[in-house]
Amino acid sequence: MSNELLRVTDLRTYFAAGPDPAKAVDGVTFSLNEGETLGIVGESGSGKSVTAMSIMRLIPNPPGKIVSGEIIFSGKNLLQLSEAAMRRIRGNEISMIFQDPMTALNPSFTIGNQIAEVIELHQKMTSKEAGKVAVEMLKMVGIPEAEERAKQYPHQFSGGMRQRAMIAMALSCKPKLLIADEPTTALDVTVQAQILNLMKKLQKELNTSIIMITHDLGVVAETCDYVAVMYAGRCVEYSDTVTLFDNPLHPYTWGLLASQPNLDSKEKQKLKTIKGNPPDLRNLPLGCNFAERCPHAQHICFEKEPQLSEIENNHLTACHFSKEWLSSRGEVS
Amino acid sequence: MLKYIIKRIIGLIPVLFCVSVVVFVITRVIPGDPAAVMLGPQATNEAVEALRIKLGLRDPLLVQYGRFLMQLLRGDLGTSIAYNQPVLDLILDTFPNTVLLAASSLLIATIVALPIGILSAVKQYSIFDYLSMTFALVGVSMPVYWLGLMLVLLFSIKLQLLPSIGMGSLSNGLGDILSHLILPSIALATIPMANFARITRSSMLEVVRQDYIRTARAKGLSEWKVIIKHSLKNAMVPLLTVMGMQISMMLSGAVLTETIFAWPGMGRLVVDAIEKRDFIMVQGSVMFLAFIFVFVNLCVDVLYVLVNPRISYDNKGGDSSGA
Repeated sequence: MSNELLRVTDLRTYFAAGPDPAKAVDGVTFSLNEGETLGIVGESGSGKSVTAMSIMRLIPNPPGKIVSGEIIFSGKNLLQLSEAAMRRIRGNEISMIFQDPMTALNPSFTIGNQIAEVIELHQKMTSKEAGKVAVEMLKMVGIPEAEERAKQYPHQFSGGMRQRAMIAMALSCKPKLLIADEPTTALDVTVQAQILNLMKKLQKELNTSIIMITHDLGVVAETCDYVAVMYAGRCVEYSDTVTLFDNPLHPYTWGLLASQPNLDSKEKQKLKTIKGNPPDLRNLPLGCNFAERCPHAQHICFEKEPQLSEIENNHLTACHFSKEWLSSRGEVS
Repeated sequence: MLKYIIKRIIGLIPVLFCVSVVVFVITRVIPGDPAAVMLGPQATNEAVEALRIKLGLRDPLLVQYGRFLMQLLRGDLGTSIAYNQPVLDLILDTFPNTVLLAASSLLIATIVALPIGILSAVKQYSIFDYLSMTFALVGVSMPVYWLGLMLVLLFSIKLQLLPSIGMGSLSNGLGDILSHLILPSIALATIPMANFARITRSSMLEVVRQDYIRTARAKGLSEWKVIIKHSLKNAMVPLLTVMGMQISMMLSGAVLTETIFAWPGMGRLVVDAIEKRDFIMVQGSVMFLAFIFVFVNLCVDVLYVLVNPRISYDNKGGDSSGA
């Protein structure tokens, strides 16, 4: 087994909003090994991005606050580091790419300048040397005529090219961990595949671990080794990707998988949806957060919060009936 | 870029033409007879009439305007009736003083307002933010003549620290001019300062919420660098617009400040000319100021390009290239 790079334990990040805080992330636990990819999936507002921003410690405070938990990265608890020490990690050991490459790059500086800036900052190079590395990075992510392109501004790049430039920037210090927050959501489908392939290729070359935040299960199937499914600020299921797709053990994951369009079915079917809406994060229910929408909910689901626990080898779920689902699946197969 | 500048300069011609019409009409319709004012109450009707004919006031208005326009095209602003000197010479004597006053006011306003605006935005809703924006509101609403008089009362009369009128002389050393410059500069700087601080704050507040600021933080940059490098440059465009307007106004509208502090600048020259019904002087100096106004605006438009690379005046067509 490879070495563990990141372990997030019982992370809670709340946002002040009126008398009760909004519990955007409420007890998330997962881990990630070196060189592996973890997918975090869930619908909008499930806490995926807040989890990522918490790892970077970039939650705007106020109103946000990491109230408790541990984020152990390379043996250090990030939540106990000073701001200066954290700055040395950001962009250097952990870097991030964002959903919308149109707005994530500064419009007033050239692409080359923006990439060189992070290299100059963390690698202690002169601006000239950093500029050269920036051009190399642009070549590495497949931008043609990199020398010329480095002198251009973001508005002179197309969406796909900008995301490549973002990846070049994020990988320029060879980080141990890359957090990709919906990196392909804003891109054309053809460009999406290019970007995902590029990330996989670079991951192999640099042995970088990736946290892939997405709501697209197709992206997860294609890129991730492990998956954490989030719902209303909690991790409801965690396992390796194959197990999750073959043998999901949480009703919410079933819903997610069922809501994918299926081209193989003979008749035209309406897309399946999960009925109802996610709960109000300021006023979470007493029991399971998903109980209101769960077709299998029983009395206990409304009264007792299910804990994330290991059901089979490295397969964790937070459902009172996981074991029953497991045994019934066993009978079927 | 050069093509754009030339195009803009050509575009100035109709603007200045319109200004010339307005200035001409206004100087002709304001009450008071220049000839009568110049000759005084004791003058005979015949003498006044003779002067009117000499000044060309008896010609049809179109003829007078044609004469004015032809002079303008030759770069001749006419000869002042009151001073009996070419208007342009009088302007060139006093305009540098106005530029000096405007420049020092602009410097004070910018140096004080920029940090206040930035800090207010960074520490939004803090006590500093509330206090500085309250002061800015007071500053914007402050009547210059009142503030000028209060400054004179305090610093010149009570504390006897600074001179209250005139601009001193270089022969007494640079310090003499500087000491004369302080009070009028502060008076003239107050409103622009308040304006700049408010614009900087609101513009910065908008920029610091942008995604690229989050990217800058995710790179591990210090907060200082995030604010100064990544935010300020993007926040500069609205500030530049307001600055351009304020500079134009300072150059053309420092009348009150120059009057209170007896600063020998253009504002006072114009007020003087109006009082003496020296319509040639008035129309000449207003034309000059209109020219300065449009020129400063042109400079600001050109500066936009330096601050914001997305603004381009070359018609190159499509925005993004490549896939």
